[in-house]
Amino acid sequence: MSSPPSQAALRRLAVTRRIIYLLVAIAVAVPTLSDLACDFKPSPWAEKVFKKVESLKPGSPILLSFDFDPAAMEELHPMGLALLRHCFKNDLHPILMTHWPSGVGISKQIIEKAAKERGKVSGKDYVFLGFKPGDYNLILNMGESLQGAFDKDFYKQPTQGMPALEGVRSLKDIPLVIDLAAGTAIEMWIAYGRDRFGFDLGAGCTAVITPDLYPFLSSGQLIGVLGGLRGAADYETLLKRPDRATKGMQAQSSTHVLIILLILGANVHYLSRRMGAYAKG
Amino acid sequence: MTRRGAARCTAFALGLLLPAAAWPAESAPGLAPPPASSFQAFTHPSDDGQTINLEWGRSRDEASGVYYVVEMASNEADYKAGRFRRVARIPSLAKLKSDEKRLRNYEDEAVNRANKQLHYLAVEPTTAYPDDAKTVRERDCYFRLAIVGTRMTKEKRPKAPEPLPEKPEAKPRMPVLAAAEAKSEEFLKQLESLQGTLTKATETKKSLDQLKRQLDALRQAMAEADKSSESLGQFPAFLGTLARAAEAIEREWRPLATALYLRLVGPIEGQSAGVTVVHDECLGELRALDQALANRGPAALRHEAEHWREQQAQEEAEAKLKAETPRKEEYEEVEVEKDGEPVFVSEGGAPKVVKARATLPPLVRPQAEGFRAFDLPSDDGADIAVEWRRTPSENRRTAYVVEIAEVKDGVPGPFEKAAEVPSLGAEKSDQPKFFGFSEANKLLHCVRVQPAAAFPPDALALRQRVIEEQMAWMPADWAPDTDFPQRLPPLLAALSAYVEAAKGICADIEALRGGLAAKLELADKTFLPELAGYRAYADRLGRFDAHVGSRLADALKDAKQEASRRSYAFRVAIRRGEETLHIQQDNKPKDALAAARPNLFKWFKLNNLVLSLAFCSVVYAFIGLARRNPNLFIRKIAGLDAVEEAIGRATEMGRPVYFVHGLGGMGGLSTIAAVNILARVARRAAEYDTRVRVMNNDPIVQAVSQEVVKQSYTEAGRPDAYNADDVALVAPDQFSYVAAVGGLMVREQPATIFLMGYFFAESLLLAETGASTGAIQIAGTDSYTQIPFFITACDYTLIGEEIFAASAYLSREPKMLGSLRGQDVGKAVVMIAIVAGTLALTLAAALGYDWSIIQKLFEAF
Amino acid sequence: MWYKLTIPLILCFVMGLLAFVHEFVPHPWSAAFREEMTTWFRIMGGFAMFIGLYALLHLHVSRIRRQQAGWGYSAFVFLGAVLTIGAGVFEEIRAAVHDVPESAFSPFDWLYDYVQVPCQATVFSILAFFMASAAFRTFRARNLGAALLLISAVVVMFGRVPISEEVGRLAGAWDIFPRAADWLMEYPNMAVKRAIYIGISLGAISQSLRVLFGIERSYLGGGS
Repeated sequence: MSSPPSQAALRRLAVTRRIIYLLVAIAVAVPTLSDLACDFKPSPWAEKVFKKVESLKPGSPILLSFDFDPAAMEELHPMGLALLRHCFKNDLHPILMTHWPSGVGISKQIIEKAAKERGKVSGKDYVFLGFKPGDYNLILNMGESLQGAFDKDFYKQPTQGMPALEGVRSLKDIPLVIDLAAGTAIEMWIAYGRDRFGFDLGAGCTAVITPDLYPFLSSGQLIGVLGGLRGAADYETLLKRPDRATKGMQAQSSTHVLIILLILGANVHYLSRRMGAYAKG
Repeated sequence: MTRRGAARCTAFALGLLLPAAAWPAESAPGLAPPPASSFQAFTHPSDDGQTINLEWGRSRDEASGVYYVVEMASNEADYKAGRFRRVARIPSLAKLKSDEKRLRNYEDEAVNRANKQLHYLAVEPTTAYPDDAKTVRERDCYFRLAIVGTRMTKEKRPKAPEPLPEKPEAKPRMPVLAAAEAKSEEFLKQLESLQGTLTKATETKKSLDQLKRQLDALRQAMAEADKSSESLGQFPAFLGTLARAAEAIEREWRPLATALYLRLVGPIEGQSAGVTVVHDECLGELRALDQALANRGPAALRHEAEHWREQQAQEEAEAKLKAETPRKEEYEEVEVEKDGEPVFVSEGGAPKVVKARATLPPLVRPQAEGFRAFDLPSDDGADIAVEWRRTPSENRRTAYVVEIAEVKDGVPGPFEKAAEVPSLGAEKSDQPKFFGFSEANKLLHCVRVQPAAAFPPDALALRQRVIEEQMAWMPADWAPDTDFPQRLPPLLAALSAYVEAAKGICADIEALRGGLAAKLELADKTFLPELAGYRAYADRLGRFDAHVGSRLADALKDAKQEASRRSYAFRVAIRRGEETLHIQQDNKPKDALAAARPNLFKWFKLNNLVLSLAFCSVVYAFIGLARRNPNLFIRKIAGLDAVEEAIGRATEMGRPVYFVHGLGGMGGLSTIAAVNILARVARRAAEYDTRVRVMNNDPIVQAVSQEVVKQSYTEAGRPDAYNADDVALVAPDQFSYVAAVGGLMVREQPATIFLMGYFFAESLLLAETGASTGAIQIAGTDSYTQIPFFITACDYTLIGEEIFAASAYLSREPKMLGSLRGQDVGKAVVMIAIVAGTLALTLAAALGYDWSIIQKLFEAF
Repeated sequence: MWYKLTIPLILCFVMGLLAFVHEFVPHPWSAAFREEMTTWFRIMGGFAMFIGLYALLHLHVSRIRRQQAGWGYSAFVFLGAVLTIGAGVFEEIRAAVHDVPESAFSPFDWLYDYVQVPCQATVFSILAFFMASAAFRTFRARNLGAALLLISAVVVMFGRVPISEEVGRLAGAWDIFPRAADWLMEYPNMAVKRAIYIGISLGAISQSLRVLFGIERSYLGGGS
């Protein structure tokens, strides 16, 4: 067991920590406030999601499940906005819902913003169903009857007979579902949605859980994945509408490079001290 | 660095290098074509009459970047003149005959092995010669084959124009007169549409009433006929006819009643809501118009509107011209793949040409042998499986049709189509979950039919029954009124008057200065209250509908289960276009009878069950062993060894011990394990008189932690030292929890922090905050994504299963140690299975054996 | 008392056994049982929130009453709770009394958009700073294992950002770093992840067996 660190060591560490925080703040702020740009090629998995949405005919329904809360907003909000912009550009009928009660406000923000840009009307061009508890039971109910699971939308309009839901009685009538998740909702959609009702499923998630989804990509249970802020930036690039995520990539690049330099610098210092101690014998 | 270390680094670096891509082959002179004798056309019983089959052997020069080219001449004249058209260019490593499903022989594997040495192509003459589609199939066509290499060259091509960036522009505000006109027209359209829907509702109601009258009349006639039954010889037939007519009318009446009550409610409510919104907007525009008329006068507004319309037209014309004007072309250099000289398959010094025609063989009837229907095993009783043998006539243009009929008193009723599947699909071997991996399954087709889907219960009748049941006991303000149909006429009348008023507004907009809004508000006073009243009623009806819907879901589920239990008869036919051939026995269609039953065991999970029970037995055996021999060896787990010293450190420094539970609920195993560790920590802390603070995120976990800590303090003989406020619910939300715990850490400066349980993104926030206070940190989690953060930020980390071993390790109880040893044995078995299985399958692949049984044994469904 | 221990243990065993059996039985009764249990579990969770709420209020009230260090934060907890609950109740009453247009100001939404969302996003954003300081502090090439970890972390971090493509282009292959990062994540990382998951799963089964058979009883409140 290590002995408690001395006060001097703690103070040194505190000063070093503050310098690092300052450097990180500069590394994030400077690219964000400036107009620096960098080109990058979208990942193949993001392209697959994009192409799938692009292949839907105008007027087709598409279900988007925004299963995240404000904590994951920075990564998933730009993703959701880019997806909805794509849907509205291609005159699709997005159906938006969420499994997280704390995600209702963000979902509402996103869809109203995207709809306003194109003059789309709720009930006619899109539906925002809001939140309902039930997790996998809700998915199963939606698989039997969408209008049965959500008899009214978020704005208290009845879903029965809604123009935006024309031809949609259940999940079986929806060709594509995309789930943006900060937790385990994607696995739930795979097990209880895609495998039972046969629609194509795409995913968007925070960067830390992206590796967990690779097995589903290999097995074909997911058509593609948008991983973290990079995934959102990839989608904006494919849509040719760079926005917050693309801008965020510059900050992310500079921060990663800073961390790498700090690590390398610390190791150089460490190794030189060791070699010095070794030379002294 | 040692030699071994250098070798390891080199191996790692090599492993990091990405495999070199296989670059396409340059066109090489002297490519060897396949043998001429192998290039031929052939027919097959599964031919569909649209395609010509070609096959040829393999060339020794097949590689990436080498292609086979097939050329065709559609008639003798073109063939003699050498006018061949290229119809296919396929990679030389693709399109093997063994890959073509319909040519696969399921009874003779030697044929399939031979097919691996042949290429195959199906050519559709109509696709190659679309201008001659009507006659090309009836003639002999001529084919020749060549092998060709490729090379990459640079070429100048026109650059694709860059699409303009998508930026939605803010639409300019319309002049006030144009806006008012447009909005009024929209309002009128909405009103007319609503009127149309309401009229439909009224007509539906009229049909409903008419049908009800007819039904009552029929019933009356039946009752009268019943009275004079003795004198009529033909009475039973007559009564039967009446009864059937009544039934037919009742069947029609019921859906209309339901449609009127509930189905039109939604659209009407939606539309009326839309009407109200547009009405508000229209009122706003008209008020703005009124104001503008007062300020500027009608002439100025008219002029402004005309000018705006001209501007819009001009902009549209300009945009159209811009789109039609060709852009100046720009060029770019691109690398393209170009074919080299083709080398033809030759015979006698000249390219070999084969002659063939698309033929349609006769459709073969499927055999009666092997045709059966049975309850699908390992399911919940909703499905029946129908299987039959494959036939030679399977291709992409034929399909199998499965028909179903309900059996009553042993006699099948009329047959209906239950499923239609492509003849090249629906194989029994595609469903190993239910039928296993037997090779015999490849000879059979199998389709799952849900009788409840083919004969669904009468949802409308069920709904009616549920409505009647619910109306019997519901409070008055929930149930729909019976006077609902009477509400429609006054609404319709008020709406018609409103439409007339709105029409007048649209026709004479200029003259309404000072009176526009007043006129509309006057019309509002009659229409809007009716609409509001109607909407309130529709809202009530909607609530009732939702309630009925939830009861109906249960009723439908029961009805579907009941429908599934009945007996059904099945027939199978092969269909090609208009021709259909049923499976027959004794010259008539053969019926297979079956009924679905819920099963008690999922046989596809048998391997799971066996492995689970085996593992449990091993654990149990070791628990028994540990009772007899308590001195079982357990390897050191540094994090758990450090627990006592960590608490001692806190005692010496006079600072508290923090125990942070994480975000898991009490149902999580890591939370249960964390609670076990908490018991030991609390007991030791009580003995040392050190304060323990437990940070909870979940109320149930908090309740359990309180009990555990209290009990630990009691066992340590210090029940007085226990403070319930030290085991607190900090915050139920993730980041509120982090902020609170972080703040407490910084203020109270604990000496020791335990981070045990299931964590999400907050793990590094907590660990790094704790590290900044100089506390010693011991973390344990089964959350794979957070382990790296704990490893970097904490002094000790229990990785994955070590947290589950904690209670056994700390208590050293023989029963728990035994279970730990059993778990380790299980892990050893898994490791051996992975290594042995991988080696076995690799060996099998190298030697050409099929040992996929090993893989299938561990298949999970 | 014997029933305080025995009845929970019996309940735990029976329900655990039924949940295990449900995995292997397709009969509709099994599915109905599972659905019923899930519903009851959700109901109990709802009641548990009351317990939590009481515990939270009790803690902060006693802090304020005793004026313990940091009692101002406790007062803030009450202020936040009162404001949020008040905003929600006010909106419900307003909607019940008269029709509220969509564009009307919503205090509850305002609190969500301008207080909760920024606060949660801010706390989550601190992660970036902490990651930098943790990486600086701990990524040292002390031995071979640590050196490998260091190299992998650098490769993955660099490969995930667009600037690596610019650097790769200078070296003649724009995608070398992204592909290296992907390879590390898809192969060694996935292999280790699966190994850890196998260990966790077996440990979880063993732990579950101990809980089911009553060998592990700490969660009941200690005592043997």
